[in-house]
Amino acid sequence: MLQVSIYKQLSHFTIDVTFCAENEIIALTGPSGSGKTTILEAIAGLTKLDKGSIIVKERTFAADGKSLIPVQRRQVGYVFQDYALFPHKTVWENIAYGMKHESFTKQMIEDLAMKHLINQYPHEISGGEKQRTALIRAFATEPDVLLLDEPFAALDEQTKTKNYEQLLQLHQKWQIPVVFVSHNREEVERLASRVYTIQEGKFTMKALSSEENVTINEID
Amino acid sequence: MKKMAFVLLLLIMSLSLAGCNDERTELQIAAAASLTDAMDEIKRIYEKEHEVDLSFNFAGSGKLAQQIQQGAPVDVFLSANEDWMDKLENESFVEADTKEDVTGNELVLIARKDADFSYSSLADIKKGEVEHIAVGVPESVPAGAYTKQVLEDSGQWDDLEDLFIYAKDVRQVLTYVESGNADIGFVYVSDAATSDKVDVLTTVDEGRVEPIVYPGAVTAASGEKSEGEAFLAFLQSKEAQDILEKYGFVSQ
Amino acid sequence: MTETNLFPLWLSLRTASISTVVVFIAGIAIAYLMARRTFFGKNALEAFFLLPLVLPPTVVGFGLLYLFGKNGVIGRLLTYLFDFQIVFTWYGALIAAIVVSFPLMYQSAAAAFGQYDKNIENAAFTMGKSRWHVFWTISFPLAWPGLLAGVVLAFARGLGEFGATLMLAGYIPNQTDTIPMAIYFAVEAGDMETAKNWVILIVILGFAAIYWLNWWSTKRMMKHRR
Repeated sequence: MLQVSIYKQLSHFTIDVTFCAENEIIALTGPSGSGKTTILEAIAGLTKLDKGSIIVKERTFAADGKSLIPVQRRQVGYVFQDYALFPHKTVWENIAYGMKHESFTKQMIEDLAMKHLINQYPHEISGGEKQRTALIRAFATEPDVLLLDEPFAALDEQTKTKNYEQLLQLHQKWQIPVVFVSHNREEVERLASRVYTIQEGKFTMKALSSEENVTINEID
Repeated sequence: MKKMAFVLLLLIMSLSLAGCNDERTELQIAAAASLTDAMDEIKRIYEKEHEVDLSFNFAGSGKLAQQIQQGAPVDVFLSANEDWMDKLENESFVEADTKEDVTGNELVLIARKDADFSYSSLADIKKGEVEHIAVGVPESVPAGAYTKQVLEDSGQWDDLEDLFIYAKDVRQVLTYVESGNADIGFVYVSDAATSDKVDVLTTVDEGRVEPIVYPGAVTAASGEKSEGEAFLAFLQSKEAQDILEKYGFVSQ
Repeated sequence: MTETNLFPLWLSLRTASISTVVVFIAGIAIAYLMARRTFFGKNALEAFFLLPLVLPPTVVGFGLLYLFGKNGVIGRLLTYLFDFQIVFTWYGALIAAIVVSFPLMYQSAAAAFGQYDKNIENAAFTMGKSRWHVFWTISFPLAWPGLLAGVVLAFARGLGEFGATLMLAGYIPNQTDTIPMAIYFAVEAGDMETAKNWVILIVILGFAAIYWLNWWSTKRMMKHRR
């Protein structure tokens, strides 16, 4: 259970959003520079809030704008744009860096067909393989919430589709709130149960989408 | 395109011709560093009264002598020390018949202005009272060489040896004494005159050391020998000697 | 200064190695702390760090003499607290070497910490690792090529340092004469033979140190670079 309320002043506008999520996948979409990455960073504890609070699984990360739990102890999984893999470590060393349980981690590696790559270095594997490494690495820490910043943006169509499946697969095994940022409409429809559109730091549209119906409500 | 090239060529030619119009002779003078201030003033007067541009290179006499030996384009050499001049003369780097004594100097003992050393002669220097003595490196700084001569003569050199801080030039000696890092120091009276933060405690007795003479000569390789000699002659004039005295030098 | 007197060799080795170690630690620590922060006056502070690079060594020496000399702020403090003086001792040579080589290490380190994606460190934080752990397992290894360049520069500069050292430590044979000083005064005195020998020695020293640093680095730190 994720509860987010963020108020933060940026140079051109102010972010002012409130939302929550259960063990589902929700998407943040909107034009570049509208504050989406900042929202993820705030949840992770990589940036400060001016006002607001962040609560995950009844642990208060931040309240009244003040950080109460540092990033290291928030148990947030984060897949960065460009994946931020450790270039000097192998795929296995990357994944094992913060892993909690070796058997669970090894299972994920098998399920995502990455076993043959574990001794390779990031610069030796493809974009899709890097992305899967980043995903497994994040899940291996057994986080309470998962954040993804345009995780599929650099992939080609074929790889994208394959990787959507894998995210869903992982999410089945490890049920937590997932927040991901994306520009891709198809991606959002495929993965998210709810979509928030942001413009200049504020939600302009909230959509509930199920398998067939897409209902769009205006924010009141 | 062709027109532009032509104009450019004209421009370049006129610029280089402009250089050629200079009728003033240029005289390269290698002078001991201690003469800097005095020579700056002399240069201004000389250049006004003669069609000559004086170009000075100030450095330690030893270094200048070495440069001349290595073929540096120098017309006149003004040394702070006879030894270096003699060396060049023996090796035929200077015209022996142009050699003249330009000016002289005296070795003095200095201390910082507010320090309370009341030494009136070298014998007064007491090891217990003084922690550091600044002196030029004897092997390359003339003032240092003279200091060593004097103190060896008076038998004090060995005794005071572990108090010495060797400086690479008299400017450094002055800095050490001015800043209080060296309690006393040995410099020429002309050097002491450049600083208002030090006092001369005593002059080293003239009789105990060879008089300090600054010889000047025209180099053998010079292309402006007559101009060089004219400049040396000017240095003997009352006008030049007065300026030198003003800066603390001792006329010969 | 006779040919058989090897004091400058030991002094230079001692001074250059210690100053490199000091500057390595200080340069990396300060560069790392400043790398991920902006604050008022940061540019001015960095410009101040680079000052010894820009100023002529004699000026740096003069400044150090002013600070550490018998009448200087720090000099007087040292005398008062420890009955101890830096001026005209080999510590002066050490301080001078540190001051002039610090900017080189700092610049290299600052550039090194800036050239990889800082999200890499952020990812490590989200995985529960402390700043200290992340520094040693992520930041330091990734910055290493640049840090190595800094160490090499700092060592070379410390070994070759002359102007500032001469002012602060003075020239006292068998106490403060480093190899560069021995070379300088030998040349000044016209003793080219001695000067030449010291030059050969310092070149060998510099060469050996840099060669060893590169070799060690390839062996230990850069295993992942095929």
